[in-house]
Amino acid sequence: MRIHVTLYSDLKSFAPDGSGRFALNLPTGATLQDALILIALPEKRAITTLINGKRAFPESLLKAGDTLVLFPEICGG
Amino acid sequence: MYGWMGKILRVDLTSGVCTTEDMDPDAARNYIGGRGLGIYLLCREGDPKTDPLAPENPMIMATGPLTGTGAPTGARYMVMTKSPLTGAVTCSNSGGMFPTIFKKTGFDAVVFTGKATSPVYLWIDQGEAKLRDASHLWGKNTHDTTDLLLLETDEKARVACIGPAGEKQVLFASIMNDKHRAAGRSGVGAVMGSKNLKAVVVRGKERIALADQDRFKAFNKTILDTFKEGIKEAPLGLTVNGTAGVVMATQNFGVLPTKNWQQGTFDGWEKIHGEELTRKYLKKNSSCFSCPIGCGRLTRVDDPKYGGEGEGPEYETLYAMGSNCMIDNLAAIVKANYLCNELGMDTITMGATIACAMELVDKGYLSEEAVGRPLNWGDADALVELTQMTGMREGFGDQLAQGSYRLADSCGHPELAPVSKKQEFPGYEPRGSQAMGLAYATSPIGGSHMRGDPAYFELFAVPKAMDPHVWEGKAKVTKAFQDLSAIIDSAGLCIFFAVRNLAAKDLGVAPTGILEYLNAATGTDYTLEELMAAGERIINMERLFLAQAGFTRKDDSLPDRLTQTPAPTGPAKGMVCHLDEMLEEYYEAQGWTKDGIPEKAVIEKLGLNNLFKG
Repeated sequence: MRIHVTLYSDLKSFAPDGSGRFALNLPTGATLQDALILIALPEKRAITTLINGKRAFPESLLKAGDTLVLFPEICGG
Repeated sequence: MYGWMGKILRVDLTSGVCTTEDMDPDAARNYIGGRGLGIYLLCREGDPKTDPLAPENPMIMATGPLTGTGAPTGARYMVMTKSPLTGAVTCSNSGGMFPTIFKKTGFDAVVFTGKATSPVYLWIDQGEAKLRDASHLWGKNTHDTTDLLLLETDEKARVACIGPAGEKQVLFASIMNDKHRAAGRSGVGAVMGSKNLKAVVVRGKERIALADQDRFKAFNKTILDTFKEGIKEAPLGLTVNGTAGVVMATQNFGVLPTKNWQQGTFDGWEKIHGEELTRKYLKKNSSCFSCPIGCGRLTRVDDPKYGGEGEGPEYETLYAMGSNCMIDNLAAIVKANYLCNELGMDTITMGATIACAMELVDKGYLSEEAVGRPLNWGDADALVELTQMTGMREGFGDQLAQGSYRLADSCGHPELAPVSKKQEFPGYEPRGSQAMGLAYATSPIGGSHMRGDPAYFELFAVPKAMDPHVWEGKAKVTKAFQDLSAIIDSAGLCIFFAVRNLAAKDLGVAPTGILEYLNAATGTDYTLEELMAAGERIINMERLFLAQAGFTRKDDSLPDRLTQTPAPTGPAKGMVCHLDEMLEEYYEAQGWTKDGIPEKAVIEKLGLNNLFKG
């Protein structure tokens, strides 16, 4: 299955072309954790993860057509 | 005393007399400093029923025991008073260099009472304080005022002052220090203006004595080493794009307030977010005293219409003046931000009030004749022009100077004001961030996220992620964050460092790191339980002040737009904020009655009997 991935800030460097937006092919039943391994983000990196705009956790299931957004730890004020 | 300077300065502006009193060691232990010391002094000196702009309303500036010690981000001070915008207590805080130099004059806090007969400024030179004539400064903006005061005192002195907005008692006037840093919220600058107090100027070199220097240094090294290890792979987002980087996060979560809080997504967000600010206008980062993050933005805009140089904007400004007004012209937002800093006004309330006016015009409740110009969504020129007019209270700016609630109420539609306790919200939409709604409604100062910020656990996964769409179980965590924020604000630290690096890594967020810093600095030997009780004491004291001022459960509210009307766009589409359900759990977690008043058992446990004079 194919999902859409958007990476922000310095995480863009983990995209194939550095643009931050790309498609990712995953086996059916793949989880967020599986996607992160494929994208090759360092395990220790603190990131926020959203699937279709909703908070996602490592065990969250992905399905074809989902949009996965990843951004680094930030805060406001 | 260690950590604390042990002295409080009292300035009676009516008589012009400055006196000094010793800090009560029990008060220091129980209320810590900063916000806690401020509410303690406010309850002791003031009357919650006082008119906020009357001479009887005291205004307190207070540092914390970690301010200026070298603890990371130990750079903050608090301004405590009764707010003219809300009628509630307020505690507006700021960093920069002023708070540290203030403390090095030898005082932990200054209490202003009364009203001067003509404009004055307070000059504190080491331990000596005197009032000086400020007639020649009245009418000048905060930058010119600062420059002139440095010329007539010492170029190494530090200045906190008001601009024309504070003088004219714009209800959301700020106190600016070091030119660019703001005690921004709730109109503390209007209180200062009502007292004819233009500025506080400080020169100080006194050493801040620490109880156990070796213990303090060793712990400091551990904390900083851990922090540096954490940013080895990549710098903090806050360092790279400042708080402006949050636009991307709130847009993606669907909680970026847009079109006066009608929706949580903005099509033009990429034009106003932090990366764009960094790319187009950032000159360099700026830091407060002893800060390893450096989230401040020194920016410059070369544009014939919106050109200028200064600091900012922060995320909150980008939401309030950007998405909330449907404005995607970043240069205009930066310009309006500069104007707010120079005139001395809160950017959140300014932007939110203009957005509210835009909706009032859009719906036909306010005429363009009354505004004096067209006022359409997305009108960048209107943003800049109306900001200037508000700071000077010119034309329609005189109505904007009252904030969104009074403006919308005067048009017969108070429900369009995005406020709690008449103070405008910061930039997180509670329909898609449930605990944020609870935090806004229960914040003692009205709409604010800085009195316990649920964005940490709902959006940023700090210390752990919670689903922002779920309301169940949020009350206890929100309370824990509120207690932590009271301790951070009282110690003199910045929330940006302390939540991540000085609290337990679970949703109880016990202030473990702050405990060690405080004990090494002050020698107080707080237990963790005692320190956490101090946080609760401060929250409850503020709550009792509100109760005395006439606030009840009905004031712990959000506009119907957020609790009754489902979000129309984005990931939170179809959702409302479940405030009533969360409030029930929250009051129970606090030990408050169903009307939100602290129960007798809580009052006795925290030693809060006989709070108020008389």
